[in-house]
Parts: sequence; C-alpha cells; structure tokens
Amino acid sequence: MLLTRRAAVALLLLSPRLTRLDAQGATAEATATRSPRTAIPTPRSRDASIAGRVVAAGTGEPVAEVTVRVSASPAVEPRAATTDRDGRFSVGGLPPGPVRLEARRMGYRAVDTTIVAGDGDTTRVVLTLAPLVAALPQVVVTGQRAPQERTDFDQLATPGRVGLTSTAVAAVPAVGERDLFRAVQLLPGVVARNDFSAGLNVQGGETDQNLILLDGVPLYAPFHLGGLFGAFIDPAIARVDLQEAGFAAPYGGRLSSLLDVTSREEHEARVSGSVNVSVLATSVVAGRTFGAGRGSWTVAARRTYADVLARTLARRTLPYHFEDGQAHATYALSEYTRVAGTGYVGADLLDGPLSAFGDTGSTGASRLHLDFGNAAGGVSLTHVIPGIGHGLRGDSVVATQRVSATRFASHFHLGSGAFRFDNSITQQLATGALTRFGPELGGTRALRAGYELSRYQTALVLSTTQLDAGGSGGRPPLTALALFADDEWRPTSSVLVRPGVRYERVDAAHWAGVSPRLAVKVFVTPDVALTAAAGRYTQWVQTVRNDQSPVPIGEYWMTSGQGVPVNSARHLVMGAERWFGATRFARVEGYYKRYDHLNEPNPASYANVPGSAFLRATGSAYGASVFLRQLDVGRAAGWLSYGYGVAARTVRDPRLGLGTPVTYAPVQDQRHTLNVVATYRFGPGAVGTWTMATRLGFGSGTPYTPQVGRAEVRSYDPATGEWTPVEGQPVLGPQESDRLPATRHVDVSASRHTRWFWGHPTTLSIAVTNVTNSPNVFAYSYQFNAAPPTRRALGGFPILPSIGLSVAFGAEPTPEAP
Amino acid sequence: MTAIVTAIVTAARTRARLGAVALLLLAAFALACEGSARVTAPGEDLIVVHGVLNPSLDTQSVLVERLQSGRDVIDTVTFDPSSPIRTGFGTPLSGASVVVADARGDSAVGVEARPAGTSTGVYRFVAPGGAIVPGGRYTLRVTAPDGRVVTGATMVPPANAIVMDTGAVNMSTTFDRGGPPLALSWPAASGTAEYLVRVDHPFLAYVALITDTATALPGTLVGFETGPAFLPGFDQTVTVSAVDSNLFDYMRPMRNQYLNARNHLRGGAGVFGSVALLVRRPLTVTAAYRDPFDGAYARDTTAAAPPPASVAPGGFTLTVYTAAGDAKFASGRTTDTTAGAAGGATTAAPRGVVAVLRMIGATDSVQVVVLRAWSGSDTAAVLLGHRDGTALRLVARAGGSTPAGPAGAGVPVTYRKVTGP
Repeated sequence: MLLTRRAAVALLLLSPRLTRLDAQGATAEATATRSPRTAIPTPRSRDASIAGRVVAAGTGEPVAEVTVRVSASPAVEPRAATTDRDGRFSVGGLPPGPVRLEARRMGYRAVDTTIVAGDGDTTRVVLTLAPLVAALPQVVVTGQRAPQERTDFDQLATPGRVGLTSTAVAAVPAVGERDLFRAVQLLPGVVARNDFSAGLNVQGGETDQNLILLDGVPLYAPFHLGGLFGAFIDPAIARVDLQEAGFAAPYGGRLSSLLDVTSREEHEARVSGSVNVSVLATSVVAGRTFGAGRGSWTVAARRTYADVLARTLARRTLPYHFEDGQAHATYALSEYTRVAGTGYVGADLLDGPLSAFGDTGSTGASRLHLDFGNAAGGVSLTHVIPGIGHGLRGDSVVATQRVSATRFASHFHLGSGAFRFDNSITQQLATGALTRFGPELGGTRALRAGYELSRYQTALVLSTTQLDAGGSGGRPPLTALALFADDEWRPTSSVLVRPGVRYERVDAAHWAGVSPRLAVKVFVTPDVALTAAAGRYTQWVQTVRNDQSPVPIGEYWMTSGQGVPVNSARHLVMGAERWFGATRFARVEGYYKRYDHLNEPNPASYANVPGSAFLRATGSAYGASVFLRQLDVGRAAGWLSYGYGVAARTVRDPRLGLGTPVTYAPVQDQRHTLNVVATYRFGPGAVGTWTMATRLGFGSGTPYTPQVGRAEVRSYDPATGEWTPVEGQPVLGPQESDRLPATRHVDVSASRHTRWFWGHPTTLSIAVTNVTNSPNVFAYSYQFNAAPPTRRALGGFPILPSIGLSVAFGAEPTPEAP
Repeated sequence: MTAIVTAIVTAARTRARLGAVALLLLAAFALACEGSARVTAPGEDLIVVHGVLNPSLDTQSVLVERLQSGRDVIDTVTFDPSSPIRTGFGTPLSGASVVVADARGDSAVGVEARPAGTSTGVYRFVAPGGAIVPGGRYTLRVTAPDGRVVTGATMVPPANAIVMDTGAVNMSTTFDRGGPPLALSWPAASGTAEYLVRVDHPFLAYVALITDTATALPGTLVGFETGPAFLPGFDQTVTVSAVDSNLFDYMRPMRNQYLNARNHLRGGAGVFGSVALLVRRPLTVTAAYRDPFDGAYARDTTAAAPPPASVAPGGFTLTVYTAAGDAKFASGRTTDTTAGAAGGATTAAPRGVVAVLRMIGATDSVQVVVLRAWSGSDTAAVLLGHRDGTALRLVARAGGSTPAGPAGAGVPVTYRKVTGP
C-alpha cells in the first residue's frame, strides 16, 4: 500500500526547448505520470499533503524561492509554500482529490497544473521550471537579489557562512577598483593586515589557509601587486560565499576558511555587459546566451595602466602592469545534463633596469624582472537522475564531475642572470560526487558521497651565482586523495544535522587521516536558530612567506613531503542567528581553533640540516563576532560586523638555539575589528538615481616585531684578514612583541546612475577613501645612526579621491547595479 | 632538495629585494603615507663581535663594536681598512678584554690597535701556541669595560695547506674576460660547512658559498649585488677558503644575519668563526676592445696649464663591460708614466678607473672616476664632460677624500683615443 501511494507521483516536465515557448509565457507543456489508483478517491476522506521538489529545466538543479500555490477547491483556502535551497516544498492539510498546483518564480515560466492528492498520505511531485531567458529578454534575473542568506539560514546547518553579491561588493567604497577581497575583509572574523594587502586572515588563520574556489576551480594567491588588489574581475562575478570555519566534508585541503566565488552567468540573448573604467584599470565584461537559451557565455578582461599613471603623474618610471582574463560558459546538453566551464588567467609583470627603481649601484645596470599569476581552467558536468521518491534514487540523484587544472607561477630575475628564482605549483584536480535527495526517517535528506583526487607538481628553480645551493628542483609530485561522505539531514522541521567524514591520503608525505565533521542547527522559532559545528581540517600545500613583510609579495608555494609535514587543525564554532523578516538578520558566533601541526618559515634555516626550512609550530585562535545585516534587495543595504579574536603561535625559536618553545601573537592577531558598511539608493529606478555608500572601520593594533638596532654586515677577506662594510641590517627584537596603533577608516562614495554615451546606462562613481586621513600605520622605519634615534611611521592610503565610470550595453541595469 | 628549498627561503628573505620592490611599487602606486620622524627610545645596547681565525695569517684580529642603537652618532667617512669599524658605519668598543684560548688552555690576549691614539675596536693578537691550527678548537671571551661578556667558539676547518697560492710567488696572471672560465679546484676539507669563493671587487666583493670542491668562474660572472664580478683593467684577487659553520651562517644570504648569529655567540651578536685559505689567485682582468667607447686614452698635453696627474691621469684604458638603457658602464686602469731613475719613462702604479657613458639626446655625457687604488671606497679624481668623436672632453672635479678645490680642479682636459675601435 505504501509503495502504491509513493508511486503516485506526478512528474511535470516543461520542455527545455525554449523556442517552443511563446513570448507571453503561455501554458507550459507538461506531462504527468500518475498512478491509476490514485485517481480514485477513497471512501474515507483524510487530510492529504503534497511534497516535492522544483528543479530547473535543462540542468535539473533545484530552484529555490519558488512560490508553490495549492488550490483544492473554491471552498478551501489556497495554501502556499516556498521552496528551499534544495527546491523542496510541502503543503499539508489538503482534502484528497484533484488539486491545482501553481509554481512561480521570477525569471522562470510558471507551472500551472492539476494533480490528485492521495487520501491521508503525501503525494510527491517534481516540478520542472523553464527559465524565461529567451522568451522575456527584458526580464533580468541574475540571482543577485535573491535572499540566499535566508535560504541558507533555513536549510544549512553549517554556521559562519556569509554571502556577498556583486551588488554588495560594488557598494563598498574602494580605491580605484572595486574589489571582492576588500569587501570580504569587512566581514566578521576577517582581519586585513593593512591597506596594501587584500589577503584574508580569517579567524586567526594565515592567508594561505583559505580555500579559494572560482566555480569550483582552486586558485592560489589570486592577488595583484603583492596583494594590493584582488585578481578577480568583479563585474564578472555573481556572488561570493565565505565559510569562515566548520566547512563541510566535501571541502578540504585548507585549515582556515572556504571562499566560494561564483561567476556571473549571462541571461541576455544579445551581447551585453559593461565597460568599467577606474583610475587604475579598465575592464570589459560581455556575454550572451546561445543555443536558443540552452547555454550562455561570459568573458571579461582587465588591464591596469599604473605604468602610464606613474609616468604621467609621479614623473617616474614604473615598468609594471597587471592584467586578467576570465571566461565562463554553460550549456544544457539535455533536460538533466549540464556542462559548465570556467577559465581564469591573470598576471603581474614588472620588468626594467634597476635604475628605474632608484638603484644607483656603482657598477649596476642590473635588470629586474618579476611576474606572477594564476592560470586556471575547469569543466564540470552535472547530471540529474530523476527519482520517484524512494529507493536508491530517492527524489532524485545529482551526479557531478569536475576536472580542473590550476597553475600559479612566480618568477623573479635579478642582475642579468645573477639571480633567478622561479616557483610554480600546478594542481590537477578531479572531483566528483553523487548526491541523493530524498525523504528519510520522517524528514528530508541529502546524502552525498564523493572523491577528490589532486596531483600537485611544484617547481623551484634557483639559478644564482652567489648562493650555495643553486640549481633546479622541486618537491616530488604529490598526490592527494580524499573520499568523503556527507549527510544533510533534517529529521524534524526544527533540527538540521550535517555529519560528514573525510578520509585523506597524501602520498609524498606518507600521511593519511580521517577528518570528521559535524554541524547542527536547532530552530528555536522559524526565525531563531542555534548552531554548532566542529571538525578536523588538514592542509598539505602552503606558502613560504615573510610575516614581517607588510605585503605578501615574494611568497611561494610548497607541498608537504620530506621535512614538511601535513598541517592540521580543529574547529569548534557555536552561534545564534535571528532573522527579522526576509532581508535582515543578526548573528552572534564564537569560535575556537586549535592548530595541532603548523609549519612556520624558519628565519634561520640551515641548508645542511634537512627539514630546517620550517619550524614546527602549534597554535590556537578563539574569538567571537557580531554580525548585523540588511541584505541588498532594497534601497538600503549594508552590515555591521564586530569581531574579537585572539591568536597565538608557539614555535621553537631558533634565536635561542635551545629549542625552547616561544609563544607569540602572529601578525593577524587583531583583537578588535569593527566595520560598518551602508548604502542607500535615492529613487526607485535604475536610471536617474543616486547611490550613496560609506564604510566605517576600526581595527585595534596588530603585532609587529620591533627593531632594537641596526648592525653593519661586514665581509671578511681571507687573503688579508680585512673586514669591509657591506650593508646595514636591522636587528629585530622579540618576535611580534609590540603592536601597531589602531587603524580607522572612513570611506564614502556617491554614484550617479544616468544615461550617457548614446543612451547607454552609465554609472559615474566618485569615492573618497580615508576621509579623516587617518595614518593607519602598518610599519616603522628606524634611524639608529643618530642620537637620539628616530622612528618614522609608514601609513596606509592617505585621503584619496578616485573616480570610476561604468557603461552598460545590451541590457538594462537592475536598480541596485551601479 | 631541502638545501635548495632552504637556500630559496634564505635568498628570498635576505636580499629583501622583493620587499624593497614591493615598497617601491607601493610608494609609487598608493602614495603611502610616511609620517614625520619622531624620537624614539634607544634600542638594545648590544655588543657586536666580528672575529675570524685564519691559519694563513700571522696576526689575528677581532672587531668589537656597539650595535647601532641610537646611542651614538654614526659618521659617514671614507673607509679605512685599518679602522674598519669607525670608518665602516660602526662605533668601536674600546677598552675591552679580548681573550682567545685553544683547547689546551693556552690563550692570547688581544691588544687594541690605536693609531694616533684613536680607538678602533680592532684587537690584534698572535694565535695561542703561536699559530692557528687547522682542526683546532678555540674559544673567544670578550669582556666589555662595563662587565658584559660575549663568548663564542669555533673549530678551524681542518684544511692542511693552501693548495694554490700564486700570490705567494708574486705571480699575477691575466684573465681574459671574454676567454675561457677561470677553473679552480681544491681538495675536500672534512668538517667544513662550505667553501667560500671570493673575488675582489672595487665596490663589493663577489662571494659565493658552494659545496663542491671545484668551480669555474666565467669572465661574465655577475653578482646580484656587485653586478659584473670581473672588471676589465682591474687587478682582482680570487680566493677560495673553507669556512666553519659559524662564518657560513653569518655569510650566507639571510634575512637577518643577526637573528641567527645570536645562536653562535652568547651575550652579543656577530660572528666568531674561522677559515682556511685554500686558493689565492691574483689576476689582471683584460678584455678585447669592441665598443666604440672602448680604447686607450691619453691626455692631450698640448693644453696650457694642464691639471696635475693627481686629478687628471696621463692616460687610461676603458672597456665597456655592460650596458643598460641609455647608459654604458666601462672600467679600466690608468696608464700614467713617470720619470725613471735613469731618465727614462716608467709606468706608475696603475689605479682602477670606472666610467659611465650616457647618451642624452645628441650628447654623450661621460663620467670617469679614478680610484686611489683598486678599491671604490675612495676616489682620487672625478672627471665629467662629454664625448666628442673619439675624444673625451672632461673637467676635473674633487672626488672622495680629495680635498675640495685641488690644484687643477676645474681645468678642462682632453683625452684622445690612441688605440681601440
């Protein structure tokens, strides 16, 4: 009997062949599969219910935020439900018999059909919605305005997740270029070391401990100018989600956080995009759909003209520029199969004689060449296997398979061959998963099992005439295999549980381990939830860096292996979140992270001692944050974030030579951070309005290592016994034993949305950063050759105006999009 | 592999070139705020010691100085090898007790060199037992006048003898910069951290630390701080030495030598190490004339009231060794002649010459610097002017320690090319 009722599934499929749809959104082509028995009403009438999922035609992916209206008869009040992030909905309390289902969502063609609700049982349906991209080109739905955060709140057990749309990123006042990373730096728990580093220190972690994915493709150090700018072309980005801790089992390989970046997908049938001009760079983004709406492509390119500006304004040669290219394409091979691809390439290039940089070496004429950047590409295939509500396939099974390759390379050449340093890391990644959606144990469940197979190849080439170990080499190739299982289970309407486990094996490091993960969310009310998550995290690629450098330039990547063990950490996150309506929420979270194994660069490494490149370290981080947010779906938007954090590292300090453990606060140990971001749009339309934005920021002082003197390095001549001076070098005091002053930021911007350039929607933006001209000290330079000694503070950006222009073509802008 | 990785780590840090470049970029890019200098508290009052025991020398020396901590004013003066601290950006620590002892307990006490009663911080002594013994262990104890004590220890590399010392027989050989590399080899010395290859240079010696027991130095060798290591026309000495781990740690490229050096000295910073000289090769570097700027120049003696040879040598050679942008860098040696005892002309002791030719518009600007000897720490003369065909029309200026306004300064002098392309 149960089987019979479960078999009463109405499967309504809309044709993905959009050319068959009329421009008015006529009635969907639908088919229904019904059990003959369910068409016969039972004599004894009991309440019926309908549950099901809504998926997208062409891709089979779940569609959230769909309003499903159920009408049984004129005498019964219609019932309605909204689909969750998995596309699920359920409506109960229905009389058995025919019911009318209407499913609507902006940007999709509505479904209006009738099914028969079983007596006293739950009838399961799968509704397929077709996008309206071809039929209604004037309707643009990019997903930017969807309250994804609310969906996440309702459906995700994992805490500590914050999403930013491209609109939210664009609203943050910026120096020259709007920058995804700069916006992320203003989120709770994230520390920005200084104005010159777009790197992310999340909840006490290092900048290389964040897993950065662009449509699932990992990227390494996606920054320009040593971290001054993020590498993504922001108009080509739809949204970014930051998981600050406790991320689920499908993700691994990093200790700290997950930054998931999603490319923009074009919905216009004609080529559309924008040209964006700032004081530093110009970018162009363009895209369109193709194949009668089955696919879309987006390409973007950017180049800075810092070299031109420096020559014009500062009257100095700056033989430097950076450039990026991004591309993303999707195509629906069938109703249930979708393929997507993403590519990114970015490079910084600095090349010129040292004299161009002020080097006046007596016999100089050396040349300096520096370049670094990412090149990455990946393809993913998603296939949906529709189910019938039970059995192996459940409601449906989604199979995903992704392959990608990423290469980050840096080259530093100096002195016409005197010094040549090349480093690269290449990661070839294959990952796949099967996710079964289905009702289980009285609730809903998404069971996922998958793998992740990575092969890393690092190259280190050192060619020098003055070092003791010149030559070529690299770490042995490293293969890392991860198998994971993940269970998103909602046993009751008020409880979400997400257990998971990840088995990882890293061959070159002769290491294998199991990393359990668990997240739990309990809804006190539909708008209030308590969350907790814990897990173990590991990392086998890391940077060799100089924490004393205020910018992360010169870092290079290294894989684990001989002398470099796998890093590991444990996370515990607890929090509470309350929503006020659909677009506003408050969140409080606390975290504790314990780093069991860390590799810290050894400032006194000894070439003759294998493995001395790193110091073995342990560490911890704990803190709490408050996050108040108004989502960017109306005229007013923004957030307030406050974070308190404490971080510590313990190493065996080589300066002592005794192996005595030394504990210190790392450079990212900023105890208090406060950021307020607010935007307001004056007027309802997309054109002829103003948008004002401001950012207020405060950060307590971060640790730094003070200088206690300066010593002259002297060169010994074995033939004569004479000493000659070489260069003065700073003598450092105890590591990170002092703190920089607190920093303050007040940035404002105003954007005018109008029509210029033959009627094209145009946004003119004027921003002023550091309005109060706060010094925001990030380093000191000392003069110890005079009595008394002096110290000079090096500060961040002064008060700095900038201007930008964005011209859209091919599409009307949404009201919030500048 | 680890060695490579470690070297990269240290290299990337040491020269801090990347950081410097980054800061340059930032300064140009972001107009980084630089606050005004403010008085700050003096730094650490640390004793810095530089001492290397060397069996090939009769007299050993230890340099004792105070760390630049803002307690003393560091004067910038012309470098004098006999007072390497005071003239080398340091503050000598006078009145210290410097004692070096061997494993048997024999000790030697250093005596501070005080030329003209001026403290130098250079403490000289004869080795305990009469000579520094390869393979021997020695300790250093420096006691400052205020009672602070710095101690260190070293084991001299057990290299028994200098295997090649053409300098000892006064055999200087020429080395064609464009010819085959200079091949050197030496026997392995057990217990040696690494071998130090050093090439004299007028501005900053080229040094390389290598593990092999042979090397070949091409004439176009470039150091990333010195630039080209071999300069045409110069007398340069190439040495190879075995170094102990202390000196190796100090010399290898490090972000901060003094961090690490504290490992090997107690109570202070610096180094107390040892070397064993294995190879000494004095060379005269030559190169063929190829560039139009190359050649041997002689002073035009037809001019009235010519400047003295002290500020305008009678002649010099120049050979371009590298070029960048609109500049050519050249080096050479003076070719002065003096009256001999028998009335004939003899060649005076040559001195090094470096020159820069810049093409500025239609004019070739020329700067010729004559060194006092082979070191760039002091200049004898600076001549500025332009190239006129194959002639150099220059004006002598005061240079280095040459007092301002020397006789002949400001007088035009013309050099004509006598050989060369």
